[in-house]
Amino acid sequence: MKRLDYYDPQSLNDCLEILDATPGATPLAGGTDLIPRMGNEDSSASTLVSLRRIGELKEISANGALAIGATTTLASLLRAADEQSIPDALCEASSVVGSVQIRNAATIGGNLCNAAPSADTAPALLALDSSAVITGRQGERKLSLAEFFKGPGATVLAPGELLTQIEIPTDRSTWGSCYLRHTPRSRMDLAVASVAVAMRVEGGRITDARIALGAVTPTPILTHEAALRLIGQACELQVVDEVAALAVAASSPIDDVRATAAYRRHLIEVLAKRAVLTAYARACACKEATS
Amino acid sequence: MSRKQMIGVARPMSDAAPKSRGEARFAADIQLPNLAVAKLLPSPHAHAEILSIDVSAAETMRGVFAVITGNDIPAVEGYDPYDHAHGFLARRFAVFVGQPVAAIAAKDAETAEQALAAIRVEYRVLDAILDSTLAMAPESPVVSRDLAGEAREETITNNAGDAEMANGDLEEGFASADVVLEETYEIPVLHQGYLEPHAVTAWWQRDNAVDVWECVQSPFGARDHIVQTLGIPGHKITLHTTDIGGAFGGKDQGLFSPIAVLLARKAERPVRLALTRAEELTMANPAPGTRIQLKVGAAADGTITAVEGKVCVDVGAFRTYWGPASFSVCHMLVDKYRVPAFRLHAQDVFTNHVGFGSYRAPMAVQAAFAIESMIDELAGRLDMDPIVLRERNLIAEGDVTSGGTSMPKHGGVSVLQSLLDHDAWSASESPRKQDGLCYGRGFALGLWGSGRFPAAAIARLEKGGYVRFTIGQVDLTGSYTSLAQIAAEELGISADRIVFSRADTSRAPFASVSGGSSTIYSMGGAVHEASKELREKIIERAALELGVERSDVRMDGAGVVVAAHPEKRVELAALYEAETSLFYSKYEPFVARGAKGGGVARMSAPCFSGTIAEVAVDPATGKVKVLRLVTAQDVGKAINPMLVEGQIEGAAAQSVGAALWESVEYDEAGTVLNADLLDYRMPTAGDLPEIEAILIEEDGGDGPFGAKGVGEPPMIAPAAAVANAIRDAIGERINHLPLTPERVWLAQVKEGK
Amino acid sequence: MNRIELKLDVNGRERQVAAAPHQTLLEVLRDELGLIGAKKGCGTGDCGACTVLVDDQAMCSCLLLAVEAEGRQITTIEGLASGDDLHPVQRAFVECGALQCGFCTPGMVLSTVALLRRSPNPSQAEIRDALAGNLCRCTGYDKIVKAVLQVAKEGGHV
Repeated sequence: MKRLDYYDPQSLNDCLEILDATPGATPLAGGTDLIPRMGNEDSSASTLVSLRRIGELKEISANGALAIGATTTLASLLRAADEQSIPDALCEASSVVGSVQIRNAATIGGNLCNAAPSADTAPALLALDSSAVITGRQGERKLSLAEFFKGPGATVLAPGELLTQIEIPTDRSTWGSCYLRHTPRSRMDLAVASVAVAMRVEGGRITDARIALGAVTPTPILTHEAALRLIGQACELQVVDEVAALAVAASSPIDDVRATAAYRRHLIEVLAKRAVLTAYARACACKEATS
Repeated sequence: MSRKQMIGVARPMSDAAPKSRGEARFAADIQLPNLAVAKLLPSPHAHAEILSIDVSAAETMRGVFAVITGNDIPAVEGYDPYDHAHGFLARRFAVFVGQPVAAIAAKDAETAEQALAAIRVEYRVLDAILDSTLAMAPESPVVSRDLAGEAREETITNNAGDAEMANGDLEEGFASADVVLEETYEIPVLHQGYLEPHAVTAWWQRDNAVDVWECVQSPFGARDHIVQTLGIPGHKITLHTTDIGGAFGGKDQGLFSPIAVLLARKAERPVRLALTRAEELTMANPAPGTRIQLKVGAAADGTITAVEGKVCVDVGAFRTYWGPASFSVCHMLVDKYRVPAFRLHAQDVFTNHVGFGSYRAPMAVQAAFAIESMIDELAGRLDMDPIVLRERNLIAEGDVTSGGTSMPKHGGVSVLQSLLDHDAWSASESPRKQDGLCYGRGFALGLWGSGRFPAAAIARLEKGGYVRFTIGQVDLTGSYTSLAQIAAEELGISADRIVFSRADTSRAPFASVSGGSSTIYSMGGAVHEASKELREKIIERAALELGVERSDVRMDGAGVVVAAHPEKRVELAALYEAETSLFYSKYEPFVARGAKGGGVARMSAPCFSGTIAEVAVDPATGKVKVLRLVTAQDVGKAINPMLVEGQIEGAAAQSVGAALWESVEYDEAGTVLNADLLDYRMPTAGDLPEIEAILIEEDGGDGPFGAKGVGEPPMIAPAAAVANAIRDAIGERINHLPLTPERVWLAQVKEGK
Repeated sequence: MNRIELKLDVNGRERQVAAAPHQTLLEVLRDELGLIGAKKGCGTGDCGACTVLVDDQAMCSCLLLAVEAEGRQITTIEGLASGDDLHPVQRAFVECGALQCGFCTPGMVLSTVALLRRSPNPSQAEIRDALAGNLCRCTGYDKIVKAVLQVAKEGGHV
């Protein structure tokens, strides 16, 4: 166990200053990924910078786009679901992470910055066309979440930068969304494969769609071809089959202790079909869809 | 008090309230002055010669009190390099990934870890033997042994023990069969999964005596483990039991107490070693991986005519301490049913894995998965009800068992009948498809003999009208409660007035392991006897005090009264005072004794336990949900029905875990891939349904009040029942546990579903 | 090792401890404050044996740094009963046989308290889901669920 330094900044500015000035400084949110790893030899954390006192990072607001502070816990996100009209895919993704105990500590920002290929909130947020707001001492930048992940465990965050907010433009009143994953147990497992779908339907026809995959590529990804195939369609079963096949084609799963690549490909096919049908049903049920 | 006030009573465990407050003291909770923390340095290689270990940098580090390696282990007579007990620390060879090669005692965990990093070990890596089939090939390298003293005469091989058992005319048996089925079954390494990792604390006292606190099922076994490995005289070791956070056969006699003892002596302060979860899954003693090749022949009416089998158990680098594991499997393949002809070959094999151990009804889950899958398949072929088929073949009282003894009376038929009549078996149509899911139900049967192990109990009056028992057996989730009920029944007092001294080896008479479904059956008998003797003495003295004949008095709560004149009474508390005055005492203090044991008769109180499982399978993903579990068990007499139900429910959950999710996985270098509770998947509350327990109480033989062992029988059937239910649901059978979603899906894909 | 002076609010009392940044709340509770009810079953948040309440929410104390617990209300199992009287959840566990070895029990009881405080009348499915983060190897969960249903039925303050 290396000697660890710890900072507890009161404001975002103080936090950014420390991150900028201290090599090896790691922001600490819920700690559910970071702390179990701290004892490992390959842990690079030598300075922890706590985010717990920075109130603005925990706020959820809906002025136009839905803006979720990066240190919003998954539990508080779920509690705010109705009031803040949080889209179904994100609620579903948040609700399956770990246990009650984990969700009371784990944050949406932490889930993204940990950048596990199987991170549950990532496919949902990708399908919802989310953006990552990144803040550093030099200011703020915003990019599509699709550009946020670099590889397993790696993001585009530069030293001194902090993910501060996730913006979701997708409006629950007009879009239907769904997140599905496969795990061996009912709870507590990491996703073996996952699919998130969001779509907009007018007069029974899909006018806009996004499909994202989890745990089957080095980072969670959007599958543009699969989503494109849905445009103009009314979710006929044959189309759904084709979309699912395109989703599988976009995946590149590996064999590991949890599953084989072949099984994961099969799961993507199954989950894609189910998620598309569910998202479609939800999109049709939106008030504006029937107008 | 009228008869049977305390037997058959569902009362909470005597220590439930303090446990609910968090007052239990587990092995890692023991606090001692100047307690040092111990950490282990594991071998990264499955098979290597240790050329040198340089601990000089670690030893001189500030805050480090002691460092030990294999060189610190004293030479002992009877050192056996094949014996699991001696594998606690590598000597010349490391024989599995994770085997400790050095250990450190330091002021805290951080210091210990820093010191571990400063130890330099030079290994010469050898070929690892990781596959049991290859291990038995003539040209296979062998698991290395530290041979002390003269070279052993016999050739070293990887054969850890083999045997054959046969009966009747096998050829004739198969020739007369109308159906012959053949299959190979595989069961992986299973961890017992107790929530409390192994922990042990050692503290040397004056005059070369040492106190050890360890979470073990057998304090005497654990003490003898230290005697055997370090040569310390038994009377110099006091093994104190602690509350145990689950054991299930994985904590019989401890694993690493010699390390704590050696460190504590060198450090000159108490030392505690507590395993991490990763260490539990890599260096403790999970159940061995098993392969069973089985061939069964049966007549058209379902009668079994012949069984042939080959069992191979990978025991890891050391022999299992309870005898060849494969031999137990062979017995259990044929001991439930009448099998006129069988030939079974048992083979234990050494490989470079951790020395495997016992797990709740050791090897029975493995054997049951094989034979119960096959019987189920037979039922399908013959278009017979699976429960009826078993009834047709069930071994009866007086039949000769596979061990050559005579089968005692048992409640197996009632177990089968109660489940045959249960609505879980008959109510809904099975198999069926509904809402895109495949529903199915399955049945399996298990048999386990109650263990008759040596047990002795001492009973005496305690101040204030209580009765104190001293026994050498640890309280394993409620055993003291049931024992108290037995004593209370005999003494005619409330069970609240019975106290047990926590077992330790210096203060208690010998007792065997808490486990083997033996506690109530054996120790209960000893407690019962001691209670009888104490009761006699109490009656004798009370009669003297009251000036009447013995036949005139009776026990009455916490006192004794003259039956005809109940106002004439003497309190137990007063009798205690009368025998314990410091100076003049009216009576001498009385100590009552009881003892049971002698002669191992494995089938002296056989317990059948059957389970019906209902499942829903998502055919697209292979994911299985267990919808219903019903277990009926032949318990003889349930001393405390609530505790018996608890055993049945807990065992069912463990068995389902083995059926669907659990397996310790290794890579090609012999390293455990899933050494955490994320990927060694145990059932959560969300993975199990309500579990229904049916207690069948029939004449149970010679246990106290007719009680039989209850802890192990219910472990055996549920895994096979779930497997049979899946077979029913999807129409395909999978012969390899666990039945993960991927395996279940693959089974259907092969058939083009 | 650099230690930070902390004031922790544990079971309604202010406790002063010196903790290194890497020390978890679990370690500090057990080793500095002698509150050994919370257990280390895995150290990775997968078993729930270390569960405590933090501001009334169930959390794994093995995943929370002690320094991060300052300013929050921590309730351990030792803080639940009042004197000799068991808390209603503890009493129901005892009466229903919802514990055997007792190792998972402190965490399981606290998770139950957290559940009933946010959802006083949960269904069986809700209970099983809420307790999924607390592994139990002894009971098979059956009597635990029955105990929780019993407390819910009794009503009253939890």
